[in-house]
Amino acid sequence: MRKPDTENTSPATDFPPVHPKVAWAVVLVLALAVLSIIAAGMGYIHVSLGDVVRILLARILKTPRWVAGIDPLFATVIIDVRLPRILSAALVGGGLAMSGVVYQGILLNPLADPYTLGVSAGAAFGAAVALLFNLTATSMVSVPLFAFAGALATLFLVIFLSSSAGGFSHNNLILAGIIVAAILSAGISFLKFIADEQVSVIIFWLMGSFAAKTWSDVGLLSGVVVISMAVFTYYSRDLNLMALGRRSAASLGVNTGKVRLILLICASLVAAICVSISGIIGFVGLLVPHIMRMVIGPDNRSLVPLSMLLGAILLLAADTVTRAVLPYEVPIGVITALVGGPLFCYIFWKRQRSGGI
Amino acid sequence: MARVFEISGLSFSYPGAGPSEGGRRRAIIRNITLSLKPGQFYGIIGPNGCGKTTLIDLMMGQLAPTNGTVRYGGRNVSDIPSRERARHMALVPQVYSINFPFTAREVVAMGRYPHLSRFAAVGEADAALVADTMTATDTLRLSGRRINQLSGGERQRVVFARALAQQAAVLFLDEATANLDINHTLALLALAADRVKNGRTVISVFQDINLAAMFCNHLVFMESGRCVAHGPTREVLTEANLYRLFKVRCRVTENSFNQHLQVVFKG
Repeated sequence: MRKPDTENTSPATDFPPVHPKVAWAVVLVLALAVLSIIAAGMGYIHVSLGDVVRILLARILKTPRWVAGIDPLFATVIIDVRLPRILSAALVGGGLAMSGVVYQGILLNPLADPYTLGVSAGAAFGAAVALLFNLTATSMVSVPLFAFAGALATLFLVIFLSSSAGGFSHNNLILAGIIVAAILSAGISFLKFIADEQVSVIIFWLMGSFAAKTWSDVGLLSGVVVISMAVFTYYSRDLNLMALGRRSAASLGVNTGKVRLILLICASLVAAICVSISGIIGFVGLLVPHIMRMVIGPDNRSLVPLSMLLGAILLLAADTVTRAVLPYEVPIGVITALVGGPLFCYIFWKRQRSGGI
Repeated sequence: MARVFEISGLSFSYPGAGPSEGGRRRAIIRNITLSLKPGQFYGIIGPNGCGKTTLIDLMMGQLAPTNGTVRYGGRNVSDIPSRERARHMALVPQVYSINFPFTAREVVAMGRYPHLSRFAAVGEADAALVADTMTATDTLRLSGRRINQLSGGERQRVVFARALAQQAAVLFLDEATANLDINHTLALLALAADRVKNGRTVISVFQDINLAAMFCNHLVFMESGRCVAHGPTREVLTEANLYRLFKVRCRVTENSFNQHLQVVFKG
């Protein structure tokens, strides 16, 4: 160094600050585990923490003698009722947060989230169609299938609308997403209008709930979340480079068109499956990446997994509050919007004042 | 002498031009043939919208030609895998904004990515190179600052440092110094000129003709997608050529202060 430098005394040695991120990962994993156990004990039937741990260990390690003396009803409640719901909430929270990170990275817009592209509206429309024709009676997977079809159709429509000039520009993508989402939400309103006796099912599902989730929901969610996580991890460095803009990323060896398409499809798949499992849950995909970026910085290699963990924790906490703390079960989409909305307004306002988002 | 770039019969047009173009595809690049030697500082000059940026994108293989070929080191540029290309060619575009709060040092380190495998960490040698590059570009004191909170000039210097850290044989500058003050402009272009002395090649788009006259030993004049003149600076930087391109009256003189050609304009 030619000049004395007060801010950074050793630019060569303090280069990748890995340790705080690892520490955060450990803290978040532990927090998620502890919260899951506490949540499993809470509810109409109270189960002590010790009993929850014993029931879980007995099930995992296949040692039935550990649960001797515990009411077998407790085991049924925890394993068959609460655990699927807890894991669904955590996986949906993680999936929404993850897809939020990816959408924001691709759109180069920290305010983007699964909704900006109209993907959630597309998924909701597809699911509402399935609910309207009562297809759930014929097949369990019809709602997720229709949601994914709706999400993908919306995604490709939005990409088609915005890519007419060769390669999709960021502003066009958001604009097309907003327009298509507006049309789709009118479409959902129309479905509700003609729905007759199915209208309450559609309305409650649109508000979002984790009640009555099963292990098959957990299986579907965890499969999609794990696969997407692997894809996002593989491309996370490319996503970092894309923050520099399309030309710069391409000049650094990123196949921008391909990476963009794969990540958009994958993020839309996660968002669609989440929407089909739990209805529309807002602000998780928007807020969690923001909070995490403030804590550990914008590097997607750590931002993706840590945002997933934080999203899982926050949505599980919200679901536990509505399930076991509030006197009535308020739809979870209402809770996340009521808490997340004002919080986001505050962050947005503060960031705008300090310059830059 | 070996050529670094061989461009022959190169044409490019965006597909699907609207009826306003009379149903015809709007040609951005029309039938350009050029060959560029290594160890030279090339300047591309022409009015706005004449296709300078598109030519750079075609040379870097970021766009596929409609007709003709671009060969780099004897190979068709589109046949070179993108990561390998990134080890040979670096680009400094004009940067308007970067929305995510990467630190300046993180951005410069991204210039090492083409040399690192996907999951590899930035090693000590890379970190030292990043620090050296940042010292040379006067950005070391910005290391820990967030890129989205830097001024336009500071951000541009950081992006310049990132391209230098890429250590590519060819450096493309697309109006890379347009929003810099004069001392940083001269310092960065001098860094680029240093690489030329080491046998590397710089290909730069200029708006400021006097800057081009100072640094470039070859100039390429473009107009409406065509290459209308090219050659050594002292041969092609003439009043007639400048009038043809920009329709302005000027005088080209030898400047005794820096021994370069100088252009003065008459409004």
